[in-house]
Amino acid sequence: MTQWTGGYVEGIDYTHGYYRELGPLHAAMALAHAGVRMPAVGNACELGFGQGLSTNIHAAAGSAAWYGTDFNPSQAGFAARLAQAAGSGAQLLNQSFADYCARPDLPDFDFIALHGIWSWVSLDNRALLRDFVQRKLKPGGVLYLSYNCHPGGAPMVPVRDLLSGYAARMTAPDAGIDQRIDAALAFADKLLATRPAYLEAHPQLAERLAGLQQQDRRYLAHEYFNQDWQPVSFAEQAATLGAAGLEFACSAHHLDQIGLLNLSAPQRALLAQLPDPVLCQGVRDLMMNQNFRRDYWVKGSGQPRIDPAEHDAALRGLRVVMVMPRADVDLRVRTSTFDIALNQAMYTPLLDLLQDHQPRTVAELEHAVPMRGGLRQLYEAIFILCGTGVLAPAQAPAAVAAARAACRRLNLALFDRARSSDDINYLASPVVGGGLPMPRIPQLFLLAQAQGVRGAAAWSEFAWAILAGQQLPLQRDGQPLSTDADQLAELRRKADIFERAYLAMYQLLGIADTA
Amino acid sequence: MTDWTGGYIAEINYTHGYYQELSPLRIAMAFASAGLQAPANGVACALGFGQGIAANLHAAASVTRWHGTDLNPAQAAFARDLAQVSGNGAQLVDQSLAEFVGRDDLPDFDYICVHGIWCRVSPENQALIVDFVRRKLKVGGVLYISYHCQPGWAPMVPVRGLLTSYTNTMTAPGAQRIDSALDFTDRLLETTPAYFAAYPRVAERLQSLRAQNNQYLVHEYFSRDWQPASFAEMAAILGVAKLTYACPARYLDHIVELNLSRSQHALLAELTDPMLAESVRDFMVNQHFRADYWVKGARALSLLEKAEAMRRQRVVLVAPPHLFALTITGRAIEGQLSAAIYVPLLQLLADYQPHTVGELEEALADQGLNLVQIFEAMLVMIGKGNLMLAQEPAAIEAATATAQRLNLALFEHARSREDIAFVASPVLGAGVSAPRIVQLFLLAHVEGVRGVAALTDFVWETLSLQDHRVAKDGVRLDAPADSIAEITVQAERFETDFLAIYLALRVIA
Repeated sequence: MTQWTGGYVEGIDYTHGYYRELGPLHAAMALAHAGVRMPAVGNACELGFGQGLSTNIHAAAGSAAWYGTDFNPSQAGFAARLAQAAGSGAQLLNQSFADYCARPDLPDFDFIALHGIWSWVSLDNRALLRDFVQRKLKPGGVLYLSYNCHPGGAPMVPVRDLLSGYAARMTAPDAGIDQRIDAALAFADKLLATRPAYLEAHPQLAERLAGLQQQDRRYLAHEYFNQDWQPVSFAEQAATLGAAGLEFACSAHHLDQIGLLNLSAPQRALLAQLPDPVLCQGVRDLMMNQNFRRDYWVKGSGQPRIDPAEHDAALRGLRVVMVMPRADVDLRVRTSTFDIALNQAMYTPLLDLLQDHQPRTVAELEHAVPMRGGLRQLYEAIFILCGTGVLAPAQAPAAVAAARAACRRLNLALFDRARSSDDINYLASPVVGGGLPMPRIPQLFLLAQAQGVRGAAAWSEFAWAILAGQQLPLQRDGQPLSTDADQLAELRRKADIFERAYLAMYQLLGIADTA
Repeated sequence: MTDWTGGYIAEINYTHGYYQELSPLRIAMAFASAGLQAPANGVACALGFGQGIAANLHAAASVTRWHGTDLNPAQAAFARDLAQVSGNGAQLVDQSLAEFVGRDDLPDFDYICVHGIWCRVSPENQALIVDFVRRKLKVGGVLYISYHCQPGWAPMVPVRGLLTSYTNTMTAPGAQRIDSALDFTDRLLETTPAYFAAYPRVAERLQSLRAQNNQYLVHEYFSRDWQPASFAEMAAILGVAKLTYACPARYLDHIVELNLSRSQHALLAELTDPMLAESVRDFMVNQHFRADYWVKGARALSLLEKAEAMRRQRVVLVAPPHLFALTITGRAIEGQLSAAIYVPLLQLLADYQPHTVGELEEALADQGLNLVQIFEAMLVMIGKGNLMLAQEPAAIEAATATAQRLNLALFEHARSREDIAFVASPVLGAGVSAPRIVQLFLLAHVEGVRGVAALTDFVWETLSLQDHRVAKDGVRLDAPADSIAEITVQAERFETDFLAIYLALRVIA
């Protein structure tokens, strides 16, 4: 392990995930729900952006100017090339936190995002990050921070220490991280077979350890084989960030904010008796066995909660758009605790109105589909639908227009990558100012469309010409298809569905070229 | 002799506890077992000595010169009084760690002990301790350090976080904070939180806190700094002070078969890295608390040297042979001890005189017992509390006067309190269990009182004057007649089974 990593595992790149929580529009919805003032986001920064997909999508699709760093040169290089291709102006660098945080040429930020890395970096780096947020986040600015937390993470600490300890001490440093992980997992299997007392006392942990074999090695490398990995409690995080002048605003995970979806009635009653917000979150984490927190924090004004009139105005000003065909909508919400059927009578009129995939403000919806519970009830419904991915926040028309060109350029770069790789499954939408999920095959159809190829039959031929030589058999229902004819037929089936049910929607969302 | 009056030990105040593991005289046998060269015994230091019972007993009963500090002035004052009255020469002060480690008038130490405080002090104080050990522990010297550890405590960390967070935000500093926090956790548990559903053992432990005494809970669950450490972390931290892990301080931990299943032992044997193996072992036994010896410069003994070191160990029986149960409870097994080994050993040891392992080996040669079996049996008997290590005759002579003076002070203390249940033995160079009532019998004996009836009168007079009562099976006896009857029973046991032992151990003249 080389020194430039500061103990952070290298030799394996992190996954190419996209996290909508890093988008300022997503933050605006969450803060509005919690009644916290959201600033206008001019400058945004992501520290430790990984492959930089989230940053690139938000830079291309949103109106903020994005800055960021990642210490891994291959990741930072990939991210910077995407930024260049999109022409989004995102300044994505390859510096250590120590070097980056000391730069004199950075602006102050309205929004800073730290995804996952907090738990994976050394205490020295945590101090740097805290200091950076204290100095560079503007008053009223928003911090997005996600981290492995207590209580869920605590019992795993010894498991992780054992795995990383095994890899560090019993495998050759140059063996390659994949092989080192495999060796450590093989050891874990042998250990499990001896029925160690720690795992006997906590059978859940034995299951979690056994489940690691199925995980993506890239994820495991970063989650379990770094030098540093320390889940923190919410109270500890609140104290650390409190010293930097930040206050907890709300969870960035929409559905998490809603007690009814996550907590039993006695649990909600007990929480209601706790006036201290930090204690309340800590107890809630115990109730939900929280492993990973995703939160927004605001730079202290002392009074981040807004008064009811301003709150109503903030809600009414938000825009949403439906990002799923009406036919695909399942009115169920699944959280770690419950599987709940949403009220058809309440949600159907809202969905019927939005099924044209036109963005509407909450004020327009309040007028068109009034609810008995008024604005707050309507917003709760919208908020839940955003949480489940049926709706997404939308930008104002001017911002949509301004983002179209950069989104198209970024998406073309992503389509190009999809020709040979299936690791990126998101595209940028100027309408939502962020990313939307898109698997590889439809990305190839969209590439065909962008090149002027029209119609399902032509798309499937186009995609087949790319895929045929790559010996990645297509699957249907989890089964690989062996013959060329079967594969081509499967492509054609997918193209038909895409053309019939999705093309128009993605044209409206600014992802697919129009005729 | 831990259990002879059942119930008494459990009632001992946490802070007046005595841990014989802290005695530097125990290092030699543990090191012989681990095949390591034992250090010299001369100057010792206790960082955070609590009430100073162990430091005083060890200083009085041996020729080791003790230094130490404890932040709490009330504790330090009590410890200094005992040191002064016994004339054991222990230099016990009430300085903060920062003040103490910064002193330039301290000698270098052969032995430093840090018992229990590691997890409860701030990272700054931990750094001070490590630096002190680095500077002041002699080459070849030994550190004893005990701490709450991973993995056992890992799932409890969030629970502790909840308790401190609750008391800090929801209770007034002057209120019954612990009770109120435990009331809250009861209500929380009623809502079946997902964490406790996933880890039911953690919920059980949380529920069991009610039964613990508050002084213990304050230290363990409500102090500001508290972080269980992992063995690997400790190895890295202490490595900076040039220390190497030597072996466990608890003798039963030296016996593999007691603690690990065969498959666990086999897997450990595959691990060529001893530090990793120790972490894996903690996982296998679900270790909650470690008490270890670390050495500055470990030197391995040759096979011959190891055998000689094993033979040199001196032991003495400290409980009546008929009370020795041929059973053992390890972490992995609950088993029977072989009568073929233990019965002849008990016969030889029944004179309550010190014997070297070499003498025992020679005496039992014709019974087919070898050195390894005998040595392991000694570890087991010490681990069970029936046997203890003995000093050399010259050291016994040198320590007898101070030990007996300390004991007279302890007996005096026992006239009005029951919080100290140990007295000093110059034969052992350490403390030996003696609950309050036994200390009063011993005091009576010193004053020339003889016979069960007279011993009973003596004790009853002391207790009844203060309206104190005795307990039987954990229940306080209110009627004087019942108390007197119980004291009589105990006086009989004292005379028939225990007086001879205390005399042999030179607890009293």
